[in-house]
Amino acid sequence: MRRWSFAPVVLSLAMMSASCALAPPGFTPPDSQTLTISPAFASVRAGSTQTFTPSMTGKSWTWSVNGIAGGNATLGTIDANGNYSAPALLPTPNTITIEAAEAAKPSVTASSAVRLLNPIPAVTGISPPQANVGTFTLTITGSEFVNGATVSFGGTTLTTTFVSSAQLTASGTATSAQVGAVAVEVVNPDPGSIGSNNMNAEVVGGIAVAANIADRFLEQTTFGPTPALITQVQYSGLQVFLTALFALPITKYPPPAQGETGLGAVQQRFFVQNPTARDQLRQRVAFALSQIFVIGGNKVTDPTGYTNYLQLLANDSFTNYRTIMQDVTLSPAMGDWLDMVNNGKPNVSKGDHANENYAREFMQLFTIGTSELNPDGSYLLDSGGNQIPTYTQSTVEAFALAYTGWTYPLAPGATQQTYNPPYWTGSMVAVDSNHDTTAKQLLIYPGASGGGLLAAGQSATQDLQRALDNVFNHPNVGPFVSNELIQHLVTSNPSPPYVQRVASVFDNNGSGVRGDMKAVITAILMDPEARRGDDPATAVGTDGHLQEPILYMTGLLRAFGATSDGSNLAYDGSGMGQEALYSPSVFNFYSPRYVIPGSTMYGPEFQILTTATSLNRVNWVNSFVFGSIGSGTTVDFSSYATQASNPSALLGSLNTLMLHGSMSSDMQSAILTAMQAVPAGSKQDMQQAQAAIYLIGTSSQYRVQH
Amino acid sequence: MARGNGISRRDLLRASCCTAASFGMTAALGRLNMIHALAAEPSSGYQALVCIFLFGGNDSNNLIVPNDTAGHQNYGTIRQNLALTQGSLLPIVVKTGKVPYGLHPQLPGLQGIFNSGQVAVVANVGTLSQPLTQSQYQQGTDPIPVNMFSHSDQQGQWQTAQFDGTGSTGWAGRTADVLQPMNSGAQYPPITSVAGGAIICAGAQTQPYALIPG
Repeated sequence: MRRWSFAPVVLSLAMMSASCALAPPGFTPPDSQTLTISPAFASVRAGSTQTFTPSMTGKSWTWSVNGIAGGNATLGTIDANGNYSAPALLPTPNTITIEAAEAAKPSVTASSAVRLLNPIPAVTGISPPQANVGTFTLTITGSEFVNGATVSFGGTTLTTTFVSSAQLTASGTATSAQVGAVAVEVVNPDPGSIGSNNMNAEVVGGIAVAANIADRFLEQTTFGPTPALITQVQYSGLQVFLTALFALPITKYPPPAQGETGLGAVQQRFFVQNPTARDQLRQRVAFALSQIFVIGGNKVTDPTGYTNYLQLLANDSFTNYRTIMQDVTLSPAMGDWLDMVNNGKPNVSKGDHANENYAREFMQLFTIGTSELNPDGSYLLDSGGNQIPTYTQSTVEAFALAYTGWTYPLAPGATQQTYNPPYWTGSMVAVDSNHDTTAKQLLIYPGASGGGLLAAGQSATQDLQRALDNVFNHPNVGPFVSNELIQHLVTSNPSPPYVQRVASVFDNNGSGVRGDMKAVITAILMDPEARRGDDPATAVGTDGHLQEPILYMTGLLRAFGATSDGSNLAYDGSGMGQEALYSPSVFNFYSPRYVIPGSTMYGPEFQILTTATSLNRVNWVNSFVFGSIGSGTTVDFSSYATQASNPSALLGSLNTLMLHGSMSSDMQSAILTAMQAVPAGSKQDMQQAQAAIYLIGTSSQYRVQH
Repeated sequence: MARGNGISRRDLLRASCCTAASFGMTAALGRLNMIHALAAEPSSGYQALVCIFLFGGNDSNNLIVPNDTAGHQNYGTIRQNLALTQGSLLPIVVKTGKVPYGLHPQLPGLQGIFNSGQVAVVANVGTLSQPLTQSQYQQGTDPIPVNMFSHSDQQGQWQTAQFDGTGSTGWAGRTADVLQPMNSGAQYPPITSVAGGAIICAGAQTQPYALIPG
């Protein structure tokens, strides 16, 4: 609709071009037997040229404009060859007469009637490029603007102020129907009214949400809010932004270099990828998944194996939990980590058992947990008030047997063996001759397919698929997984109803699909309990979670636009209790059920907050703000230094960026006092900005995201 | 190791973790308070109890192994492929008339200090919510520690000595709570951890000082 509304303008332009140099209606041509000038009638646009040619050849001519030989700046000039240059501004009146007189015989004259028209304007810039629904003001830059020009915005003429031939300002009202690209055009007035090229402005749905709300949403969906993303969320609103995040293409980890060993370079890439990837939500969810489906660099040391595993989690983040379960189970990195790879059929006569590591931790940590859960994530208790185990030792043994017979992927050109040597690309492969084919009793629960019994004689692949299905359909998976993802993204202590709402979406996304990750993530982020902190009136002080060291560092890097090659950050994180890629065990850096000492509240990330790591956090912020965290990372606070002359305004910006506006008044006044204490000097502005950033960055209000 | 005028480390352990294992937490805390009585006499000099927790990473049947013929035969029957051969064991000196044991061949250092009387082995300990016989366990009639086969739960329960899985303080931390008043005016927490915020160190009133070695 917006596009074709400009068709008439284009059409009228074409007609005017065609009529150029034609006689106006009712005009009588002069005597054709005398000297004439061609064209006899012309319309010439300001600033353009027109050549006039006498009807006699071989003579010299004296050209004049309105009787002035050669013309002048007001009327336009004409040279000895009849080349007329129209003035940049139209004279009044805008009709002139071009006359040629024979030099040798000045009585021989002829004239042409010329109508001067306004020039064709050109638009080169619109500022701001985005306009909100509602009233707006734009500055249009370009050339050939004429006083009286108007700006057309999607076919609607705006109230326009002429600033110069290169600049106009215009204001108007954008409607919600105009959200999207809208063509902007400058129309010069009559005489010769004509429109410019079209340039698009973007109408955004107004400020959909306040900056503080946008910032808080980014705390939950990214590796840290940035000023640019805050603006984007403000205009798009949370749901539209979320949809856009889901649609972004997957950022790929660069493969390790030829001959690369160890994980140092992979850690570095982790700290490049996570703060900079556009698909922030995917990376953030993958990071959460990496803390559920944990592997660790103290055993999985191959850089290709580890990189492929990180990529697997990112690729699968928006798929289905069942897909993640299977891809993880068959990844050689996980196979190595929990000994599922090369877990052969046991020689029972020798006292062997199938390796139970993967079978056990897959249930305990990745899917259902140790105890039966209610749909709201609370423990189901027996009549004696005791938790009810979800499985027994014999269940673990049965799964361990179901998972036998898998070995490393086959390297190109290699020969398949019962136990392939380590190879890290692709999925593990089944060797049926090394698979236990006895019957296995898996999990028993209401609705379990076949009562949870795996029939004897099935292949490794059949047993694996059915074993994964058996776990996936256990009623614990929804509340168990929902609770953990909520803890990673939103809050350590979700209420049972919140868990239940998300778990019900896990169980059924509304279309009968179980485990739909996009639906689950949406349910987590858009739940009223996730959003109640957006409004200070409904915020609950115990909502939220301590920023873990990796998010703490990336949050500060992103907030202040630092550029980093990722070096040093894994080491720095280890000093804070979280070395990227090196969870000390399958139990992650911290337990989801860690209770903050002296309280009854869960605070998983507090498990790695000690006297030592707490000081290291402060020291890191000190280096980041006042010194350097290494030559690979640069950050520039000068845009904040320029705000320091207005300390309250500076603090307001930082309050939004770092604390979604939740800074207490005590904290504000304390920081203002500290800023005022910075001694005068050439670097005072910068030092005041640094002091404010340091104090917020190390504060408990920043460290715990509510 | 010399016993001073006050509490010995052995007294401390008897009063805290061992009783916790035997009688449950209520009894354990009661015993802990008896430390005050034991400490009525001021002790001189610095005393410390150093705990190294391997998080279940030690296969004790691969560490200390029966070294008499019948005992090793029985061990070999149970351990099958995983059994250490008797000839590979490092013998340790036990009292006359007691069953001989040997250590894993990689532990000559431990062998040396054991034989010089500097090591004691407390065997057959584990998490327990109450005294339990094998048949009681097999019949499932009596309470056992929650999540018996979950490594992370058992790692936690070894530290909390609270076998219903709800513990948020460790036995050393609770010990520190009790000992703290005896160290009034101390500027430094009673417990130092070089292994992060292990729950064993967390008390209800006291928190450990954690430092990062190196």
